[in-house]
Amino acid sequence: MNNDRVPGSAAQKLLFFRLFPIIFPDIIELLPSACVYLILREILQMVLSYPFRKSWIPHLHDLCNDLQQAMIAHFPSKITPKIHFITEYSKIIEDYGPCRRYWCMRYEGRHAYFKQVAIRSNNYKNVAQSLATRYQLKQCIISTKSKLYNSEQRVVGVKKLKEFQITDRAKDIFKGYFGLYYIENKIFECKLLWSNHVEYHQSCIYVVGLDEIDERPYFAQVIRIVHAQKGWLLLMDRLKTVSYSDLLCAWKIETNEDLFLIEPQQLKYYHKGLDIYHVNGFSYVSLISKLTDWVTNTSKD
Amino acid sequence: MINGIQLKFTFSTLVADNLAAHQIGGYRTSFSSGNFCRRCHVSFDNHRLPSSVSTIQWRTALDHDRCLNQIQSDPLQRPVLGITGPSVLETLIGFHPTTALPADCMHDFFEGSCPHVIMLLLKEASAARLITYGKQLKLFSFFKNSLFYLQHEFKNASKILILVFLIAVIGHHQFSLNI
Repeated sequence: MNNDRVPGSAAQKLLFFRLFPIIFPDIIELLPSACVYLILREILQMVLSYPFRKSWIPHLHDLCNDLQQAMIAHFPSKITPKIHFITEYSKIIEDYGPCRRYWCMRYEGRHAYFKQVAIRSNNYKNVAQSLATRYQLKQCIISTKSKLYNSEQRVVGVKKLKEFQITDRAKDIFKGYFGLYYIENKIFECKLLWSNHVEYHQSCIYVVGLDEIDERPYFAQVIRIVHAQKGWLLLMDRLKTVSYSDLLCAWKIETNEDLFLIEPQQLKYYHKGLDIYHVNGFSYVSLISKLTDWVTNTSKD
Repeated sequence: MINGIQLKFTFSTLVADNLAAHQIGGYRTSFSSGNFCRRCHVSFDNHRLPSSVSTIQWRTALDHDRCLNQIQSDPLQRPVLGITGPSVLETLIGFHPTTALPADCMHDFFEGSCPHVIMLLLKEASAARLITYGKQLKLFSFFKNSLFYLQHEFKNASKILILVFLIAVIGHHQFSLNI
């Protein structure tokens, strides 16, 4: 905050950038210069999207132009080379492909471990050796647990689902799905489920599909993760995507109590679990990247 | 040769933050004067002009080699168009400073312009008396601490937690507005 710097790691900065309009809704509403933020946000949504569509490139180029114009109009003395580098992204993506495929995020994340070990180990003689040994030992632990290559399901926080916790609608769905089994046996639930390397968390929001025409995402909230007979199933609440708020850069959602049971394998992966934010009495889901489908992508381009 | 299979590969691209990329590519490492961009011929004096985006002159391999020849013949004249000398990795097959050093979106966005724009907006809001600087500072440190807490304790914070957290932030914010 002092010296014009925002502290924290890159991921924290991204999170703060994403939540900025939700934390300060009135700044975005009242300040005329907030359009700089909105343009930058739109550029970032495109840059971070993977898969990326070729047809977006002209739009991205125009947005880069707009950003330069908006910066000149609102902060003429604050244009730094940083802003210039942003304005070239349409050409960069055209030449090299989606930026997410070659960013430094993963490298820095891996490197952070070595930096921490090097600082904390108080080793001044042979840092390289201790780093190598420590990393080898860490690799041993990881590969004995074999979390990485294990695509089976793993769970956290398993307990019995009590009768009074289930709503009537959920009961109907269980009866319809499990039949007699539901009446005779207990059902188990868990808080967290990894299935095929995707993390499903209770009460998180997941993108379950995209509109075919305008690519509006459809959301669903995981109500419970239950186990009966064969495997783990997700009890999800299909949410209604009402509108996109330009100021908050978020999707306004409503629940219509439309519950359904689904296997995690049947869900297509679009985005990791999301949170709901409540602003002025409405619920919003904020996405940082623009979503698009692989299949339509190849057929359209 | 790995397990009897011969693999052939070439270095195509190298991702680094701007300063490191400029060092590797043999470009000048100062961003506050001259031709500071490794992809185009924009100069520091006119990168603020509105026309600088629409009429970008991209660097090409031919131009680059010509500049290098010029530097070789007259070493005192450098930097020529922002180029100080040949790249460190010049001898690598398939590596050319103009094509092999793409931008890194993490450093350009998350560490570069996103915090920059946020700071500009917060300062403007503070100047327009929407929010006072002291409150903002407090709010910010509060947000940072809770962010840290949220990220480390609850990787996927439940809805209720986020709600409580946001109510706290917004409540604090409203309070600062009334004063």
